[in-house]
Amino acid sequence: MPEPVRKIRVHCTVNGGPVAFEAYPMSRLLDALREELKLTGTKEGCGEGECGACAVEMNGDLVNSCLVPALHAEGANIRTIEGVARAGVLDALQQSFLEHGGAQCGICTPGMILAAVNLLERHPQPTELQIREGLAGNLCRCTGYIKIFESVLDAYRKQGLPR
Amino acid sequence: MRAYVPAYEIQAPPDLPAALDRMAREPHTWKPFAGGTDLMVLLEAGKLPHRRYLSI
Repeated sequence: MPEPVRKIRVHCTVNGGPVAFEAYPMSRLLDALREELKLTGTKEGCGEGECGACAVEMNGDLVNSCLVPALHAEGANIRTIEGVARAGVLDALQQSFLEHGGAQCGICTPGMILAAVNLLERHPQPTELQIREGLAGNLCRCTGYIKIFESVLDAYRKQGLPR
Repeated sequence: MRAYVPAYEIQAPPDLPAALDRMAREPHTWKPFAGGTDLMVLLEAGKLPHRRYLSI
C-alpha cells in the first residue's frame, strides 16, 4: 500500500461559525462535513457529482461536496442544511417542503433545499423555468419533482416570512 | 473500487507563477489540478493514476 501523505488542518467558516478539522488533502469535503464536523445532514448520493444530494453552498456558490477536495475548503465560507434554519425556526423553503410534500424519502432533500436557497438568493422571484433550471442538478427519485417545484413557488410567494 | 485517498497529495501554491516554478523545479512530480470536477470522479472510481497535484 502506498505511503500516506500528511494530514492538513483546514480552517473555514461553516454555518456562520469558525471551524477547523484535520483531513487528508485530497479527501472529500463531504466526508469532512459528515465525519469530522458531524454535520450528517449533507447526504452522499452517487458520489460522482451527478445527483446533487451532497450539495452545499461554498462562498455563495452551490457545489457538490463529493467533488471538493478538503484542501479547497481552506478559508471558505460554507453553508450546509444545518445552517438554513435560524434559531430553531425553519426557513420558509423548509416549511413549504413540509406543507407541499416536497420531501419524501429525504435523501435528496438537503441538497434540494440548498439548491433552492441558492436559487432564491440569485432570483428572489423566479419563474417556473428558473426553478426547473436552478434545481436541474439535483435528482429526486420519489416526488416526480412537481411537488418540489410547488414548494419553491410557495416559498417565494411567502417571502414576507422571516428567512 | 475507491482509491486509497491518504496516498494522494494536493497542495495550493499562492499563485500561478509559484505553481509553474514548482513544476519546473520538480519535473514529472506534480500535475496541475483545476477545480477537480473530473479528477475527483476518477479518484472515487480508483482510476486516478497520478498522485501529486498542485491546485491552480
